Amino acid sequence: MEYLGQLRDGSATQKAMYCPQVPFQQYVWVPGVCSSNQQHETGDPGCLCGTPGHMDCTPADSGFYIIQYVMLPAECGGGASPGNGPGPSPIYTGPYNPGGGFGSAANPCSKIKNSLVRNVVNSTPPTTVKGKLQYLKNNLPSVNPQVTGEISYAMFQNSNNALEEEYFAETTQEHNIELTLQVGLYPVYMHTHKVNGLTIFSLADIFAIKYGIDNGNFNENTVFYLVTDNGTQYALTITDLNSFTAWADTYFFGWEFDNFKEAKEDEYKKNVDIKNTIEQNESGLVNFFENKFVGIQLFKASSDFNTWQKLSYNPFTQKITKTNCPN
Amino acid sequence: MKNIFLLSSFLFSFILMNCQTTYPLTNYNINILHSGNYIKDTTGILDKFVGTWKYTNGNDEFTLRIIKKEHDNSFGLNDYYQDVLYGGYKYIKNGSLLIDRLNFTFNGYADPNCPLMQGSNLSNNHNMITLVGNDRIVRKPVYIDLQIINPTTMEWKMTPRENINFNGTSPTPGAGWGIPTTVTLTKQ
Repeated sequence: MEYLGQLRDGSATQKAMYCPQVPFQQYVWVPGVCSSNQQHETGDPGCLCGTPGHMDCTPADSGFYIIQYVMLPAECGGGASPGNGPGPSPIYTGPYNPGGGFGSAANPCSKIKNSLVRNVVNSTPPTTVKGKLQYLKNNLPSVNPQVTGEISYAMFQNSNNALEEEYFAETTQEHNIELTLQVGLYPVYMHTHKVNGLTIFSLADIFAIKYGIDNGNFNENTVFYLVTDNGTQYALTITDLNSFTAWADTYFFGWEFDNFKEAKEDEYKKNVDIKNTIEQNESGLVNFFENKFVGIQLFKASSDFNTWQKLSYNPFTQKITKTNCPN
Repeated sequence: MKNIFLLSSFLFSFILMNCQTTYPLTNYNINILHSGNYIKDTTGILDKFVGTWKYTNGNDEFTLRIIKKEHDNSFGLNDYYQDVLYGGYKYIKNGSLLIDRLNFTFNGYADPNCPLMQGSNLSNNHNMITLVGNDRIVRKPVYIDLQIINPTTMEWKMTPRENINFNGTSPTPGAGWGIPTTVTLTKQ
């Protein structure tokens, strides 16, 4: 990967629109304190980045700020002239890129596709991960009134590298699930949300991913599924483990305190809310991930779990772009 | 695959300027906030929720105190500022005091005397705000809707919030409720 310069005529935007397989934007750290007239400024006193307490600037190295760029592979109609950089400053992607560079992780669509077909060896009757998702769907409270709370499966990899399930059900509490995982890797975790709960992943769900990584239960290959009684079905995959853990370690530091949790939940609520529509929450969660450089990807499933779409934010239309995963 | 970086001049409109800007509480986009920005209650719309409110029924008494904190960054957790409501409550049930957190303090997020709720998310008609809080008696995470009926009457409605207790990382909420879920409060 190399930096070949800036297109000042806006053609990168048009090219990016027709190249949906690449992210529209990336965040990079560059020298300076802010941008003005397409130049990296180094002395604007109004720019706060780099001063203590401004988390956008973590690590708050003096003299660097963060900026969004379009990055296109050559196959998408590149052609920039080398050397036409955005002013005198080169781009640094090393220690200042929260994503750990621009390299691509394993195809997240493949992670989902591969996990769905895996057999769950201790399931009765025998089924696959996809079959267990259908089981969750068939046991939402609106479908099976005998199930009153959230339910979940954590699937660990046994000594033969086969998946075995552990089942957790909550019968007495609303919008709550409790689980205890043994030592070892769990390539799949899936759970439900009840009606009147969130239509999408909660902040507590995201914390659980972080905790599972810390605990050695989850890694970048784990797929996190959600089936809700509001008719929605999603998956999350980690696309950049370093980025995710770097963000989560900071963001959730203090999560054990109610006061801290409420502050974070209040912020999350601005993006994802129990009162939002399904589309608002999808947009909100994708935006939340994008703005926090989280290194995690959201997918939406069809009602039969056969079709999965990658949900990305398009800053030009300010809407969500849904890209089908190849079957 | 060899990649080429094309830096779009168009995208410079999205550049994180990180310069201090104030947005009205009633019209802002969380996704364009940057370090130092301020979501301000420019029209004093939060003020109608502020004060001491009470519900009494026989020997049961539920008192709520709401304050507005200006230019708040949640103990430094946010890199932007906002005007926020914080609250605490006191509950006497059958004549017995179960909790009194009316005089909450702001000594960091580990403060044992911290507020029991906070929030700045207004409804579209600006007469309702949803706070994020906790039924401290049963340790249940909740949303709290405060709906202004008239200047001296406000409805309180509490609903559970999503929670995961993974290997004991979060308290197991107790059964039922410790404080009232739906009451009409009168301003004192």
